Amino acid sequence: MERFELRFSGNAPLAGRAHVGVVASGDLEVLMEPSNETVVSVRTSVDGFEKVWRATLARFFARHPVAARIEINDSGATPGVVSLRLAQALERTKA
Amino acid sequence: MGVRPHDLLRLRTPAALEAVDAPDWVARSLAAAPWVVVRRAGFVRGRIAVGVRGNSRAERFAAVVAEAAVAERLSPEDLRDRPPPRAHPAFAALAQLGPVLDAAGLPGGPAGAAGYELATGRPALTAASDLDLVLRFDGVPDMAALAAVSAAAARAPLRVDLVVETPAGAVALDELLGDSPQVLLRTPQGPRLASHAELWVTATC
Repeated sequence: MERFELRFSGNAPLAGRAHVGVVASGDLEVLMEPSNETVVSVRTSVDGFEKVWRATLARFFARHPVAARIEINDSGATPGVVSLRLAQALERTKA
Repeated sequence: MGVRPHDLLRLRTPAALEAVDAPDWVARSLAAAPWVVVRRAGFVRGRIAVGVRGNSRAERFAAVVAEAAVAERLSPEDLRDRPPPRAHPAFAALAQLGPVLDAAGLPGGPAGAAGYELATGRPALTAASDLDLVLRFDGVPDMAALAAVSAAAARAPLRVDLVVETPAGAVALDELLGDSPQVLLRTPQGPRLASHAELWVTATC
């Protein structure tokens, strides 16, 4: 188990908050809410992948430069699944 | 042969595994128990896509085998009522949940480490293991029955990872029962977001 916090530059305001995903092997939960700075707290069951997390999240914020506070509770999801959940969470903040 | 993801296959010989650059532990694992698990990719150029399990979470290796190399196939359903080879909370949970599945008329059984251990007799569960339980449906299941299974799983002595297999792929039970209009669907082509209606449309390859 590992925890770390990553910061990104984002300034597009978020319309609301969202909670997507499940606690299940190979999956993750994402909580996304408006904030004045972009901070991602990652809690993951798999150690040693901070670099991969940073790259996956950087790709997301390059496409969607939102100002958001994001909490991630990961149970060994692949970067592909992480990207899908982030996109799903962002979509749900607009609902 | 109608193999499906999670099925365990016993190879006639470990040499039947077709792999490039397999690490040393792969041969050791197959020598101890010549069993592989069918991956979601299904068939790759006429070969069955399989995974080899090693001693740790990091030891997982993808390969393929020819259908003719398979001596025996055990599905999660086949493994459900097997006597456990030893005491472990996963087997206790399985014994608790079996009657719940029966009462609800739901087809399913163990996968992952518990399934592997029931099929091979070789220890795979650790103190940190969950119980992976697969429920398979050809059509839309009774959601109330699934909710009862989810509630029973929450009372189990360890975490139970419940996966629902649909004609289109696999979805986590808790997400299927949740209120999100889109769910994560794992398909032979990879994961994607899907509507609930899409889950029950047969996958096209």
